[in-house]
Parts: sequence; C-alpha cells; structure tokens
Amino acid sequence: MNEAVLETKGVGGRSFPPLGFTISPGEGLIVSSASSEALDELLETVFGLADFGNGEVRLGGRSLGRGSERMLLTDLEKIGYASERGGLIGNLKVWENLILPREGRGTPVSGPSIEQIEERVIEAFAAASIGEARAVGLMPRVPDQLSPFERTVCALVRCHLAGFGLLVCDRIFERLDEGRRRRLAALVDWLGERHQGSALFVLHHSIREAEDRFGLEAWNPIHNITLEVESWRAS
Amino acid sequence: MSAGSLTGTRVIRSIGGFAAQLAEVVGHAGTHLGALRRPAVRLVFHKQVLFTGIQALLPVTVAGLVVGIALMTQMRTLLGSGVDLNVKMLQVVVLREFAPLLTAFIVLGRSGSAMAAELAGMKVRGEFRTLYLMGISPGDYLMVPRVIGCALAVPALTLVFQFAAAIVGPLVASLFAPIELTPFYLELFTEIRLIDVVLSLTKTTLLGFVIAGVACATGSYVPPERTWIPQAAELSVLRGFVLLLGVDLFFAFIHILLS
Repeated sequence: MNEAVLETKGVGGRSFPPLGFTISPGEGLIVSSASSEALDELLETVFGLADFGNGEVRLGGRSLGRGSERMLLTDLEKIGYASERGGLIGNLKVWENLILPREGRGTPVSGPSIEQIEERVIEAFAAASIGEARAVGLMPRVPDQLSPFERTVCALVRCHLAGFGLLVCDRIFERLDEGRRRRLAALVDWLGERHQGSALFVLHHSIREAEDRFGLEAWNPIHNITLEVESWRAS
Repeated sequence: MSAGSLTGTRVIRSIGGFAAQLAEVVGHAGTHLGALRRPAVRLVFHKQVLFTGIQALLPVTVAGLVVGIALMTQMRTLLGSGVDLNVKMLQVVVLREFAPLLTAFIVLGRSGSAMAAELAGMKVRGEFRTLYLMGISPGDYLMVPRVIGCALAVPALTLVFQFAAAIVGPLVASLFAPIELTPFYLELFTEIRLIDVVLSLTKTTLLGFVIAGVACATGSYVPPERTWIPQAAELSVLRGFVLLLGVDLFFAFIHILLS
C-alpha cells in the first residue's frame, strides 16, 4: 500500500477549525476559504512553520515539526512551492531563482548538469505555451519585471527542476484571465505527468471556482475541503 | 502600577526582546559558517562584500583623507612642531577612535539601513516562508553571508581609513603646512604596538558583527507590513548607532585598563 504523501490529524489554528485530511500519491486536494488569514495560517501550520498544537502532520510518512530545524528543512525539500505572488526571491534574477533549491539547500548538489537543466527549463516553459525565445528573455530579469502569470510559471518551473513529492499551489489560480488560467493548469498537469507518484495541494480563495478543479486532470481524484471560518468563529 | 513604571517595563521588555533577537542572529551566523560552502549562499556573500566593502572604498578613503589632513593641520597649530605629541594624538584620536567609529558609521548608513530594508521587504513579500518551503534555512541563506560579509568588510575598510588618515593625510597636509615627514613617519611606526593592531582588528570585527546583526534582527523581526520597510531602515540605524557607541566605550575601557 502506498504511504500518504501528506496526512494531518487535528491540526488547528487561531483562524481555522481543527482539520484532518490525507493526500495519497497521485491525488490532489483543494482547500478553499474566503479568509486569506485562514489560508496563510493553514499553510504555515501544516508545514511546521507555526505551532500545530496537539495535532499531527506527516509528510512522506515522517512526522513533521517535532525535531530540529535541520530535520524540518530536510523534510520540506520534498515540497514544490508556488504562490500567488510567484514565490520567487525578489533580489535574484529568474535564472538564479530557478536553480536556488539546487544551490541553496543543505544537501549536497547533485543531479543534472546546467545544460540539461536549461533544456528542462525550455521544455517546462513550453508546457505553459511560453516559447524558447521568450523563456530565454525572462532569465536575466528580476521578478518585479515579470507579470504575475510569468512569476507563477517560473515558480512552477523551479518546482520541476528541484523535484517534489507534493506540489503546493498557494492561490496561483487567482486574478488571472481565463486564458492564462488554462495555460497554468496545463503546466500543473504537465508537472503531474512528469512527477508520477506526487500529490497536489492547492489553496484557493474562491469556493465556487475551486469546485471546478481548474480543469486539472493529472491528479485523480482531487478532493475539496472548504474552511468554514465564519461559522466556526460564531460557534 | 503607575503609567511611568508601565512605560519603563515596556521599554525594558522591548530592549530585552531585541537583545535576544540580536544574539540569535549573530549566534546563528557564528555557528553556521559551513553554509558559506553552498553556491547560493556564497553568491549572497560575494554580493555583500562587494556592496559593503568594495563599493564603500571611495567614501571611506575620502573621509580618512579629510580627517587626516584636517587633524594634521589643526594639531600643528595647537601642539606646535613636536613630533611626539602629534604622533600620540594621531594614534589615539584617529587610529584608535575615529577610524573604526567613522568607518562603522559609514557602513551603518550605507549597508545597515539597506540590509534592514531589504530583509523587511522580503518578509512583506513572504520570501522567508518561500525559502522555508523550499527547504532552505533563511538564517543560513540570508543572515550568515550578510553578517560574515560585514564583519570582514569593516576591519578591511578601517585599515583603508587608517592608511588614508595617517599616511596619505600628513603627506597631503605637508604641501601647505611645514611638516617634517620622515621623523613623523618613523615615530608613528615606532609607536604602533602589536596589541594596538590586535585590539583594532577585534574592535572593528565586532563593530561589523553589530552593524549586520542589528540590521538583520531589525529587518527580519518587523511585522510583515509595507509601512515597516522604511521604519526598519531607520530603526536599524538608530539601534546600530547606540550599540556602536557602546562597543567603542567598552574598548576605551580596555585601553585604559591596558595602559
């Protein structure tokens, strides 16, 4: 039996009710809430950046956040993270951002050569319908010179290069027109096909849009959870 | 409890909290030097040395030169042409006090404020969280190269200041004031002892740690709100200024004890 990629039990915060869910390999989960605060806190709580009280989080079968910072960081290397703001480091150029996990983590650098990485980058940008010339043109820029869509694509390409067991998409489908949203979903699907056995964890603001599952197909099934913050606070 | 004592308690708590953050940042940098082996951390370190050290060479050299020329001409007026007193003054006032402190102030104004604002901006944009979620320690990636880069740059810049003030300054001053350079330089090099060099290096390294530590602690612990970005820069300069004076005073006592 395949071990769950992400499993939480009784994880709660100041702004959301205690939560339990399991994401198995190949599956997806969309958590939607009208409250940004709740989504922010959920993200930080689930991945050990905030205290999750008496609850438990298991990432790739390992209990998270109970050991040293080094252990937590090693566990978090299994994650690919892209956010609404792109999740890029503002004072680094796009290319430096793409290879940051490879060159900045505590574990020794290994894997493909720079030439192979360049090929992978072009291939991944193509999955979001961004041509080679445009992709190469983006490399020397800093994130502020990119559109929100391009920033998010870059963050997803970075996830592809670093490899992941769990792809975390933090409100990336928001504030985009239909065309760009489809291109982003195509890239996320492409990543799902390339990284078999991985899981998808999406945070989203709009509950109605989340129900459509953004047309994603590579992860199946995709579950939905809605954080009912208002009714929980009232009770 | 009166309003006065409440304010006092709050101020003490705030100072205590900041001291703990500063100790955490400097402690982390001091105990995680191995992070500099990673290519991405090394890149940040090189950028820091370039910005804090190399790009500050011109203002530090000009400041050193101006202080050297001004002091030599003033001393000549006040103390006469006696080489002994002139050298003693230069040694105590310029080499021991002005050079480390003025260099530190220049670095604090340029790099300290920039570092604090940069880190506060990163916090506002959620980049600390992004680093964590990539499995990269913000302490290793952001603090270590900045603190170590600054701690190396300040002693190096101080040496440049000292050279400009004590060697080039008198040379330039001799163009428009009657200064006998050979006995002056001979006396100067005789007067400089090894302990002076060691204390100067220790003091300036500590000043570098303080500048970067204060900037990193201030920038990374402010609330994640845009309005805090300029405030972080301002706060970092203010806190740094007070602590630099404190370190200077501490070393002044050591000199008194040693003499």
